[in-house]
Amino acid sequence: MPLIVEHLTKIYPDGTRALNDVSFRVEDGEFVAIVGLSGAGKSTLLRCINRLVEPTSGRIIWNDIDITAASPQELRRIRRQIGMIFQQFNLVKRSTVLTNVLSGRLGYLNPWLTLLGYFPPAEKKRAMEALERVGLADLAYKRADELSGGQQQRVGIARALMQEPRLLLADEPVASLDPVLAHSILRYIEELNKEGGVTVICSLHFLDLVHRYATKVIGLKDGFKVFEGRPEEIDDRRFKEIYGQEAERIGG
Amino acid sequence: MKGPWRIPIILGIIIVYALCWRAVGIAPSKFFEPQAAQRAREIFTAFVTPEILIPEVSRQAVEVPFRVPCPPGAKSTPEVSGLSPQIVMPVCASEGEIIKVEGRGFHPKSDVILRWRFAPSSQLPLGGELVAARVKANEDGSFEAQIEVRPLLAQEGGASLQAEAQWRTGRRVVSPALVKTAELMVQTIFLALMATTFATVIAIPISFLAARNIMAKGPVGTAIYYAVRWVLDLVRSIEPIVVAAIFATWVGFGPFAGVLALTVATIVSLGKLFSEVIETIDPGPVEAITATGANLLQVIRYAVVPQIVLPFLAFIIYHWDINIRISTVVGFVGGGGIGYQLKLWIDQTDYHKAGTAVWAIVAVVSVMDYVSARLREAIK
Amino acid sequence: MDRKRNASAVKALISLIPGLAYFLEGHQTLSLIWFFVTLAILGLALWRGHTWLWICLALWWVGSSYDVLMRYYRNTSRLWPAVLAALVAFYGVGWEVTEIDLLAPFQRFDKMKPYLVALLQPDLILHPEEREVFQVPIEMPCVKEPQPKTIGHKETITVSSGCAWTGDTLKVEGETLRPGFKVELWWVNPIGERQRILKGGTPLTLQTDEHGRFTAEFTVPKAIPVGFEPKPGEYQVHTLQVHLVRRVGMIRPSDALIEVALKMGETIAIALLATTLAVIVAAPLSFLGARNIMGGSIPTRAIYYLMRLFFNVVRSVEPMIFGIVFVVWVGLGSFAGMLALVAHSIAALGKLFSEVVEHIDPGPVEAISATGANRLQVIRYAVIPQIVPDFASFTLYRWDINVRMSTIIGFVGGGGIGFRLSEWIRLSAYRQVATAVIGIALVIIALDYLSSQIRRRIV
Repeated sequence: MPLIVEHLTKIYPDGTRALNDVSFRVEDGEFVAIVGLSGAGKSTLLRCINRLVEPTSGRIIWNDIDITAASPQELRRIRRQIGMIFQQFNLVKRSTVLTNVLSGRLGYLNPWLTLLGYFPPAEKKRAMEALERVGLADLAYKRADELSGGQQQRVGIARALMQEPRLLLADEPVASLDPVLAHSILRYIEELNKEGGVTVICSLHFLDLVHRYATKVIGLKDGFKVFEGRPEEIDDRRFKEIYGQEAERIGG
Repeated sequence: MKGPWRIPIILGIIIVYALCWRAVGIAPSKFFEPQAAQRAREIFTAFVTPEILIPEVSRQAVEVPFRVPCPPGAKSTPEVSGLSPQIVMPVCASEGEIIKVEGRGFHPKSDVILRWRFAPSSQLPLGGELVAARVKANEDGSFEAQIEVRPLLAQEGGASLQAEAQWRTGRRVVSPALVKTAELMVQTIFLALMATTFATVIAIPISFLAARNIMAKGPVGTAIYYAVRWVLDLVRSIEPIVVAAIFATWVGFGPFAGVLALTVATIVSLGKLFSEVIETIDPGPVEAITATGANLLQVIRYAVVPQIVLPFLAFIIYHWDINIRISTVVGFVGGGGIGYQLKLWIDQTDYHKAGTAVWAIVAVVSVMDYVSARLREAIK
Repeated sequence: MDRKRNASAVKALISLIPGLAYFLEGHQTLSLIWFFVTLAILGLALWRGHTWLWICLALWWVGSSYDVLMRYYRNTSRLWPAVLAALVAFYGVGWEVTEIDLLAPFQRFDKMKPYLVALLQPDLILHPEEREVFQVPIEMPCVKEPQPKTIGHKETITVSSGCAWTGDTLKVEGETLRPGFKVELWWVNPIGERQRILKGGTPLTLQTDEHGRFTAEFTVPKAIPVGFEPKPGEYQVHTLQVHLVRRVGMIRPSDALIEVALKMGETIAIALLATTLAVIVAAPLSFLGARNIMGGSIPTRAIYYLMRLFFNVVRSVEPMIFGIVFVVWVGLGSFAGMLALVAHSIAALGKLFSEVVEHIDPGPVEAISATGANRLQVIRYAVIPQIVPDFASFTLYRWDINVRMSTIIGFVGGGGIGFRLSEWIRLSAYRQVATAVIGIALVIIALDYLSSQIRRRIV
């Protein structure tokens, strides 16, 4: 059940055209990298898919459901199947690691009980398992702001794991981390993609990471889609199309 | 300050200060006028020796019923009343007569007060009592006094003569002023606590209305935001003491007026501080929790509340501390707390007692200052 | 086995003493809080003697033991039973001792209403009026046959009856009065209480026509003084006053407005002088209270601790308390109020200033000393340039506070607007109170704005 994006356009209230008529299709199990300069519209595109940003026009269809037309209740049901991880991790810094992970499950649970801070024991067990998968089980009761950046992003992944997602959106997940840590984070995402069969759409800065992990690349420039294809298809000409004439290709 | 403006500016400042000097009526000589200096000395000596322990006084009393004039058949001859101590005196007499009262078995060298007491039914001034004589018992505890039978004693309900002996035991006990001060200090602390609590409950919703990032999303929201900010600034400029004085006429003189006045002042102050906290929350977690499919209440509970709860708590503790300071004086105008009693004692020139109250204020305010600083540090 | 049982017994014992478990786990602050809360609830129970307080104490104790046991055996914390018991105890007593009566604001709303009404129509302007008064005596009640009554020769007022009783309707007519004047009717009882005659709840107001005539009907108001009711067969004489009113001349500020303006000036003068004098005294004292300056030898360190103690003690006494003391000492008036503000400000500023002095950078001091400058030169060229901005900013902050304080120091006799305001509140002069409150608000908002602008410039 693919994700189909049709003629997606987003114009912000201040007049910025962040996305211009972008269309593409993502098959199940793909690892899609979205590349482009800062301000090319990568974050907006990802946020339109789960409607954290409301698209101006165009349609997004996933599992034969039109996300752009979903009612608030339907939207929450869709969102809980779409995990998301962020450049700045977006953890609640003053809450414990465990609470941060559990909060990934909020969409599935009785809202009133969760307002009182109650989570069923089965969910707590699941959260501990998720933390074990990212290797942080012993830090479950620490406050999130006591963790290092790489650890925080792993908590972010554990939070997404709690949603049992079928689609994972990752917005520059490694841009705030050391290059060494970048691979460890992306390997967790790759594992989800390969072993869990989760479709991944991930915006990335570095082309070498794209070559290493992605099965498909979408290039954005000034809100327009300028490339769609396999990573190895990106040659010097296409690189300059995406990143501009002055850009120098380094590495990968 | 350079150039040609230098001299006019200096002159202007001198003129402003001279005008202020006259308006305030500064007269350092007032410090040293004999009367003022005397009063100052009284106040300061009293304040450094607050009333904490006072000599214990023991009392014993005998009371004898007395009739004026003598009923038919009764005679105005001395009779013995009481066992030990006992007094010897006639039990009736006619108006204007001088009777002899003898006492035996009283505490040696005690001060004895002889007073007429009337039945509670009779509508008399002086609280139903009239001092007839003061005498001092001698070494073996006996005394003798001559007292006049006043016309006032010819009451229907009859009267009685009470002999009360008082003497110092040599021990010292906690003074009633200290007990009163302690009770009122506790009341003061609770006054601040209740006001802070009420204010918190009301300030939380108001602070969301005064937070730019929450409200300034549409024209209606922006209008509400500016209106709320404006009202907060306006009310903040009126001191709680003024509000307390007005509330005292509204709900009556007492601690409740103080609670209400402090509540108003605290709502305004906390509303502003809380809204600044809300304005500086990190939007990231809100986005992240929204993306998991949580509903609005869950987003507030898991993304907003954890970010604001500790700063809010710190401000609440801080305001409890401030409110204790203010509630020590709110009683001057609204009643309640230590303030009213302190003013009463100073008005009655009971400076030793006033000193007790002032030291209690210093102690409690300093301790609360320290405790609140420690607590705020602990919850950072 | 035995050791295990012993360990359980020890845990049970630990759980019985509130706060002990926290102490053993190294949470000193928490264990102190536990200890003092226990003591506080016990004290409250002893003081108030209510059964429910003893129950709260028991629940608090059981609740804290429960929490400790849960932490030992289930590895989770269950604080809410204990916290709930403590909250019930504290807020229950708080509710009682502060005499909270949530109905009172509603039941006594009539006492507040005049203030709210007055806030919308403060006493700001005065329109001078010309007023001519005619007085018609009315006997209450009628002991003779009612007869119309007329007073005056050329200008006449006629009342339909010279006697009446509460609730009767009387007709009053005026002839050949001055034309174009407003007419008000007032009723004065024998002890001089005056009330405006109303019609349908609003004051009855008429106008004389071009011939100087007017006619009105009104109901005799309740005016018999309580305790002075006329005995049967006797009457008392009330007066019906007919006022002819015309506005003359220009409107001018009301007396209250002028008074508020003058007293606001005095208030600001108090604040300005108090702040200035406090800075003059506090600035040198702050050096004596700075550890880096005074930490050298034992005598100077003693002075340092004494200054610290002085600052902290005096700072914790509100200016109003100093106010009542200085009023006794130098007499009622602004001087006493100013002294009160000076006393509090010296301590408050002294503490802040000494902290500034403590945090100066020692580098420049060293550098200037190395050039061979003497001690005063060092202070002038190395210390003062560093502290001036912070001193100025704290002074402005104190000035803001002193302006607010000087508006209320008058409540204890310290002069300024507060003195007049407290009088007006006592006299229930609602419109004057409203004028003063609005005046204070405007001045304080304006001065706050001014000082925030100055602060932006200098900091």
